Amino acid sequence: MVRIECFFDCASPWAYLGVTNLLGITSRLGIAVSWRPVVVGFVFAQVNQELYLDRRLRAPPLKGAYEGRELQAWAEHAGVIVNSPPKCGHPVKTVKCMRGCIALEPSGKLVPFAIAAYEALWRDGRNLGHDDVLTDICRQVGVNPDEFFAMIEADESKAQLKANVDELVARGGFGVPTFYVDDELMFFGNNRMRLVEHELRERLRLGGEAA
Amino acid sequence: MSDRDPALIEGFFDCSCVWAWLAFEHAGWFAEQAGVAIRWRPVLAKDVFAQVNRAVHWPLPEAKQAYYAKDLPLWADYLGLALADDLPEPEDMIPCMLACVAAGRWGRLEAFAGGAMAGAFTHGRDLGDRAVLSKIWSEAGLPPATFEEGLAWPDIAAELAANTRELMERGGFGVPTFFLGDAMFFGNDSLPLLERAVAVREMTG
Repeated sequence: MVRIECFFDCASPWAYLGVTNLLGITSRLGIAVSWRPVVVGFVFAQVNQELYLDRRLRAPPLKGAYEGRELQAWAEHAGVIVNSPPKCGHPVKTVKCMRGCIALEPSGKLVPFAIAAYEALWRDGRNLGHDDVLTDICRQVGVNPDEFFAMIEADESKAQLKANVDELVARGGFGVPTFYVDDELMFFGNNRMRLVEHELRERLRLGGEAA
Repeated sequence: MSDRDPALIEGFFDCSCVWAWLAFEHAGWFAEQAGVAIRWRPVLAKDVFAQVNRAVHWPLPEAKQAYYAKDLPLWADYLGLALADDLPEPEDMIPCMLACVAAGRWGRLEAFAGGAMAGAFTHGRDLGDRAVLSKIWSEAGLPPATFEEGLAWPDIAAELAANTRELMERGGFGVPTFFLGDAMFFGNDSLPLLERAVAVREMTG
């Protein structure tokens, strides 16, 4: 069996596309994903945020406009709606949301919750940092809101989020979505899904006899 | 409204860029399969960067640099292309890009450009060396005597400069950059989007 991990943050539209595309690929291939929720701001803080800002400030305006159009094209390609920038403003504080993803993983609700959160922000423009929005998402996916808010305050959720961020940075990551295949190959960005799929298929094919 | 042919794919490239080579091959295969033509437009990337994108020269965070060093061989592997251990970085790309334009006059642009980039990125050949370029020119099936002659035609230089200017006028900031009509696609990574755009266009007529 091949191992695929996905580091993601609901604050990122690119991660939304990566997660959506990965779900499509892995469901076709019949393999499970190891989901690693992170808050990308915490990653940036460790991986030299100054340089990012500097480069962004001095990148040609044309490139920014182009990247906006490219995001739309990739969203259409993935079959989802992305309204960027979202009505509620950007960036959004997703600490509670990502702790929620972590807390919901054992019950199997991580994926429905994450997708609903992505839609809430990127389709509907709702602020994932707000409790009422998180409550609505909980209800939408059949999670008890009171339990949810209790779980995300637990030490385990906080510790796991921090551990995910630290691990991503330790493994050479610097943003989302980031994928790891069999702990050894890293892929950054939704525009690498072809390579991810190619690698998964290769490894499944070669390891097929043993599976 | 644009008067550009919405069915035409244009590919702006510079032989100094390994990513442009990957895209050149990648797009070439796609175009062949899809039965569409690509009009290749040689440019001088150095001029594009100098005029509209100086940030390209600035260092990326270390983690990103380390990642792209691994990303490149993964793409090459996926595309079935062999990479030399040391990728050359020629100083002067003008003769090479002039030769691309000139080769186009004889209908051999793809053969020359493809040969030049494979030569550089698989075999480490120096595209800044005129003797090397002359050899690639004849390997591309062009008469050896025409190499120096072709490079010297004034309208060759004018065409290269015009392509470079046009890329920037149309919103480009680097290579490889593809256009389908007015829609722009930058980078080897966005080829799936170009492919999709072509498919959508074919379906919607």
